[in-house]
Amino acid sequence: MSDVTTKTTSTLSPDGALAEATTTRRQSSRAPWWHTLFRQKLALTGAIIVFIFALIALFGPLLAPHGATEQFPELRLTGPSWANPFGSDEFGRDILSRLLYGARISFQVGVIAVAISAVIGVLLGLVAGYFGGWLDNLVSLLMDVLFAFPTILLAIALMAMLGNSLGNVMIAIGIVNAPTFMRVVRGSVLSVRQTTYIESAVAVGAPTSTILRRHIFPNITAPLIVHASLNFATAVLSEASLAYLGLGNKPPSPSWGSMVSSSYGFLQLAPWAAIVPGVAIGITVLGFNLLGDGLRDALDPRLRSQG
Amino acid sequence: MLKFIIRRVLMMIPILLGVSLVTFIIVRSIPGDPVRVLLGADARSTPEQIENIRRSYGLDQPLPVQYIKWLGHVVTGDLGQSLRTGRPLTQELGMRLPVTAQLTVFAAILGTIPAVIFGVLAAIRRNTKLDWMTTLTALAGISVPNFFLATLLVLLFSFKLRWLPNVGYKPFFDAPLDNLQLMILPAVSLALPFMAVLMRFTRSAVLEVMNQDFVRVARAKGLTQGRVIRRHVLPNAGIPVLTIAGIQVAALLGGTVIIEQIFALPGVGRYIYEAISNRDYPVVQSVTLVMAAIFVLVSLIVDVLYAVLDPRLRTR
Repeated sequence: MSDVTTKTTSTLSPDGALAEATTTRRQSSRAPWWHTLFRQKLALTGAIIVFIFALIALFGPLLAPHGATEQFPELRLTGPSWANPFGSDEFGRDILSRLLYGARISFQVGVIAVAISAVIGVLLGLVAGYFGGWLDNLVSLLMDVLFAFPTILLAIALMAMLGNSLGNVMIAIGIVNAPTFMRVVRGSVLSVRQTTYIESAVAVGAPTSTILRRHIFPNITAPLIVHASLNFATAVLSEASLAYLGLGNKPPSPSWGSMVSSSYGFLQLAPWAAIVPGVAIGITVLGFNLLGDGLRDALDPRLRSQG
Repeated sequence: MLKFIIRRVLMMIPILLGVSLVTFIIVRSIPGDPVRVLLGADARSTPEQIENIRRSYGLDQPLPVQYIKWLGHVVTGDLGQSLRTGRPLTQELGMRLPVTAQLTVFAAILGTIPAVIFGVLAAIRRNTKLDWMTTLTALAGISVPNFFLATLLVLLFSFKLRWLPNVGYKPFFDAPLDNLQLMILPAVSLALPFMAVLMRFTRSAVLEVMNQDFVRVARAKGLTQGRVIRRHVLPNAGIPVLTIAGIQVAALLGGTVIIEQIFALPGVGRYIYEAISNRDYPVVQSVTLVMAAIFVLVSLIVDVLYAVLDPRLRTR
């Protein structure tokens, strides 16, 4: 059991994250200066996107020219204009306004779902990685079981169980993504645990809780932050997918995913109604992915020592 | 080798048991009475009738008993029957599994070819325009939701250019050309994130191997670049890439839930989504288990292939 999980844990992050970062750093001295700049520019772009997204999520409703559900029947399915820069939808609602309101939903779901995954993942990952033995086997089995489900399917099933509300979307996505945190934390703990400073902490008789809190946890925060950023992207995507399937948001609510799905029927008449929210999702997710990649290059302590 | 395979097969058992238990618990916690859903808005049925139906489906027994019974049936190849249609699930899956299998395999092929070609080229020609384009494409691929890509493809190829149909299904063996025309847009929509992940990973796996000492040695002894890549880099980079491809199959299977919905394909993904909305317990339970089993089986095959290709792993 454990040798297989170790293999998945240490060598394979699903998007080749570790290997990617390692090679980047190792070659950076040989790479031409503009390549480093390119990578930093990508990370900077990501940071800017995330920053703007957060601002819109916080202040979007103040900036919106109209309400999210305000209907202007005379403007039904009209194209972009000065008054409605992104056009209006099948109820004559201003798409820009709905977009600005909808950012808050994605942001909320992202923050809370990631927090839920992180709490579950950190606790179980710490326990499994530090204590090992049957505890590790049990947690690893749980991880393997959850990984065997296609994530979106598990999220849909959990939504059916918990009930269709925005709060439950956050819980469902949080649970579904928790195993990836578990894996990251467990792997990091395994490598930290072998260091001499942990050995000496044990030797001087520090209580286990102190070792976990004071010595292990601070040393796994870097991979954790990186993973949280990348996972935010996943959470936003999952929320959009669930909303697309009609889960989590009652219809008038302006979730970006449901904006795409509700305008699918009018695709020929009003393509902008689907394209605008779809592009918004794509850019937001891209932002978090770029930021995560950049953070990984900057933060991963294993890479720093090579630098 | 045989011992390795046997051990690996035995390891599937606790995972599949866990999957079945988790599925059972989730499905049985879904609020709402399946019998009432089954009877629809028809409130005329007497409590006795409802009780009879419940008994005939075994829904009146304690949950652990239901679980054990279900498991026993599944092990003997009986997946139960749909509450809604009353048809046996094995028959239903026999019709729907080929659709999803074709879609998934099609998407995997469409995704793997560009991923491997451009991933390898990007690594070899590091820091060139090609490398950037690959990086950017891969980033876009993991960021665009597949339902939005499907929407764009339908808009372009079905509505604007009118080249391809946007909805419907014909079995491959009845009308191969129609089938391919109907499957191409769903398969491409499904393939993009798969391709993106695999492309990123191929690139980094190749780079990783190219930094190894044995590659430096191969260069030092005067092998040509092409030969170094073909004989030393690709075989070593291929193994982890294969694993990732296997792991990503789960994502492909999950993606079919949304994609089959958009393109109205009568596959397993759409079936299970409908079953969840209808509280069709046996369908959700058994089909989820089948999907998870397919994934576990794919990982098994990948692991065995891994051991065949890389003898170092066999001894562990």
